[in-house]
Amino acid sequence: MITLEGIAKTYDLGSSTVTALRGIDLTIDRGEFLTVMGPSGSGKSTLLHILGILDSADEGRYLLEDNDLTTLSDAELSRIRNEHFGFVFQSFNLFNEFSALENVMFPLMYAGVRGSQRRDRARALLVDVGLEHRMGHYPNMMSGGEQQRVAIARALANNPSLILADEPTGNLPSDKGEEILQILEGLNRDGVTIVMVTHDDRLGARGSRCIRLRDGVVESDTRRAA
Amino acid sequence: MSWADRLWMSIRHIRGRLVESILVISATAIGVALVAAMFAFIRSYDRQTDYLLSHPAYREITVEVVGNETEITEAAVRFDASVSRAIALGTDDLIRARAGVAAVDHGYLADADRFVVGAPWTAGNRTAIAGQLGAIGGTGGIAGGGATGGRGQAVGAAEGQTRTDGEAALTLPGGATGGRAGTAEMDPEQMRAQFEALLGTDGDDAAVVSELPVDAFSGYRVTGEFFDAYGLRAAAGTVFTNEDIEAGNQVIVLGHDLARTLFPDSTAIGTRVRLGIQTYTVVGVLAPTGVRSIETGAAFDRLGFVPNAAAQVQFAGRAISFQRPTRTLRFAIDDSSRLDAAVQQLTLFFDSEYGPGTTRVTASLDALTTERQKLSRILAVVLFLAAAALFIASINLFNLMLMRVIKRTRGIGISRAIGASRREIFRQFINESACMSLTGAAIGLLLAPVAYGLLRTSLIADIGAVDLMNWLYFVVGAALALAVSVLFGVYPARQAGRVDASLAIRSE
Ligand SMILES: Nc1ncnc2c1ncn2[C@@H]1O[C@H](COP(=O)(O)OP(=O)(O)OP(=O)(O)O)[C@@H](O)[C@H]1O
Ligand SMILES: [Mg+2]
Repeated sequence: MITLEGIAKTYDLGSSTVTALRGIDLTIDRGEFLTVMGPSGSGKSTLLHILGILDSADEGRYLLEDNDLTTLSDAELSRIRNEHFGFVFQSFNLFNEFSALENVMFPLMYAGVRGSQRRDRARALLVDVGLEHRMGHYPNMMSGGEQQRVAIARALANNPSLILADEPTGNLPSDKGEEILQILEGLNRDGVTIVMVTHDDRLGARGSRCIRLRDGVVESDTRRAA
Repeated sequence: MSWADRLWMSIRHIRGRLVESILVISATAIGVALVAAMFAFIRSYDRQTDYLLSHPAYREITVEVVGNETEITEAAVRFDASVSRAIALGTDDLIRARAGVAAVDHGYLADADRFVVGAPWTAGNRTAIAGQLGAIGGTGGIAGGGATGGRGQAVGAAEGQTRTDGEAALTLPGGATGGRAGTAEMDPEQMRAQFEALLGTDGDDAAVVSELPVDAFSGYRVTGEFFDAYGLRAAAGTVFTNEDIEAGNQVIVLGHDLARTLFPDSTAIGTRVRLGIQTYTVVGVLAPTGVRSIETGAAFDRLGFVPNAAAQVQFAGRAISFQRPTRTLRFAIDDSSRLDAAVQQLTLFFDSEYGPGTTRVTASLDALTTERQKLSRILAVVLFLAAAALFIASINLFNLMLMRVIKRTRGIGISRAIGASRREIFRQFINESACMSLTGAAIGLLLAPVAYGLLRTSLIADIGAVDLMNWLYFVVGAALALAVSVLFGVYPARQAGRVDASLAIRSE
């Protein structure tokens, strides 16, 4: 599904530079549940942002279904993010000025889904994550677990084929984290590819494949027998 | 994302920060109101200027005796007064100047006046009025005429002129030289008797219209060429000429609307009306005209015009003239390019007549030009201030939007992650700032007429001739101001579009 070839990323801090990724080669297959582990600062988030084309690599090639993304315009990349990718972050990243329902409606709005269709779809998504009683609530009125479920509903709005999750359980107590993980596993069973960054070894082991980063390179890549 | 969705988002964000939004919207409203008002105002001002430049009054050149001003606003002490009192300008000066100055096309007198409608004479009021006249005469209001055949006859002696200042003065023409001698000899009772006899001779009472729908109306005392100079022609009857005035015909020409008002059901021509102590015969009704009085703004259609000359009647065996003093001779040219030449020639003529410096020749256009230049400078300053108000409002909007971009950086990152392009982010922010600009402009447009009214009452007199409210100019001015305001939203919106999504999302 996705092939990264020699991806490198260096941040220029003016006086010095920080190399976050140095020559990442990685192929992600459709239907994988890939967990990304590694010490703090090893480049996990950077890799996830590059995978989600929120950020671009300085070097290397990014092939999505054999299409080279480096030549695409911002509008085209945004459309891919909107329709094919879904993001889930550690700190939920909901729009606090908008209700749960409205938050879920945003990706649909960007996709051009209109009026009642948009609303119906967003409602259905919130029902799926068990928030039918929280639709009109604003993020700051909800618990962390609820917020993260809204974020997942939002990530799923346009039926993405890839979910990119950066420590989605990091800010949650373990029981709520478990709920989130089960939702992601359920999605994976339905065929959605998942890339999840985590610090938790137990969670890391739950995926079908785990890569470990260290200083911007892939240190290990282990697949779990199905 | 549709335009409506963006509008919805903008409204949500504006509502979320209502107070600061309202402040910026108010500032924009004020800026837009001032700019729109100035826009409309300058347009009105230009049109008014055009109107004035085309007005017959500004093709006029006036000739006055220096130091003859009697306005109280003038300096009270004037040592050249003795010089000026010897000179009194009159119709004969007008006639000689017309003959002697080639550059001038018209020469006339025109003095604004108000005519009080009087009842036809009866034995009763005749006695009363004669008594009043006698009393005036006794206090020296009647002056023995000036030099025979000289300029004194038509205008009244210097004595009467300076003292009565606008009151009707009585002149005894062709009589004794020597100023007040005529009045000093007569006691009030004797004079009353004389006047009663005089008024009794005033023709056929029955023919005078006894009732008019108005108590008084305004008008001018003019001479014949006034009508040519102002392009006034009679729709019925005829305007009077200098010959009529010389013959002592007591005639009146009515403006179109005035004739309708006074005589709604019948023809005005030939009717006799009493105005003050004088009986006039209507000889003409003017065709409708767009001309208005520069001084009062009154439409000429509503004015009446009577001869500016002595009303001669027989009194004590002599001809007596009722007349208000003339201070100003007026000349006009049809082609304003000859204005300077005309002023020069008139100056030469009157200098040689009365000596240099005794008369003043003024092109009223020059006064207008000076006044308009001064006004233009004031308008430039006000326009600058209006533009400054708009500019400051726009800067406030700019700052506010820039602050919002910074505050919402993380939100921009999230939007980008869920599918918003840089262009979309730009559009959202430009939409939000434009919403505030537009709201401000809409309110400003409503306030503009108020600002306009303030400007107008404080800067230019309403001469009533120009339609001063022009919504098109308000709208165009407001649209321009809106464009400026929207333009100030572009930079913050571009900054929003440039936000690095990855960095924005990492920021806590
Ligand atoms: N915008 C940036 N400018 C400069 N350096 C950056 C920037 N973003 C990341 N880095 C650096 O790049 C390296 C990798 O960062 P990254 O966020 O990918 O690490 P991470 O593995 O996600 O760490 P953590 O587990 O703490 O989230 C770090 O050394 C970090 O300091
Ligand atoms: Mg990270």
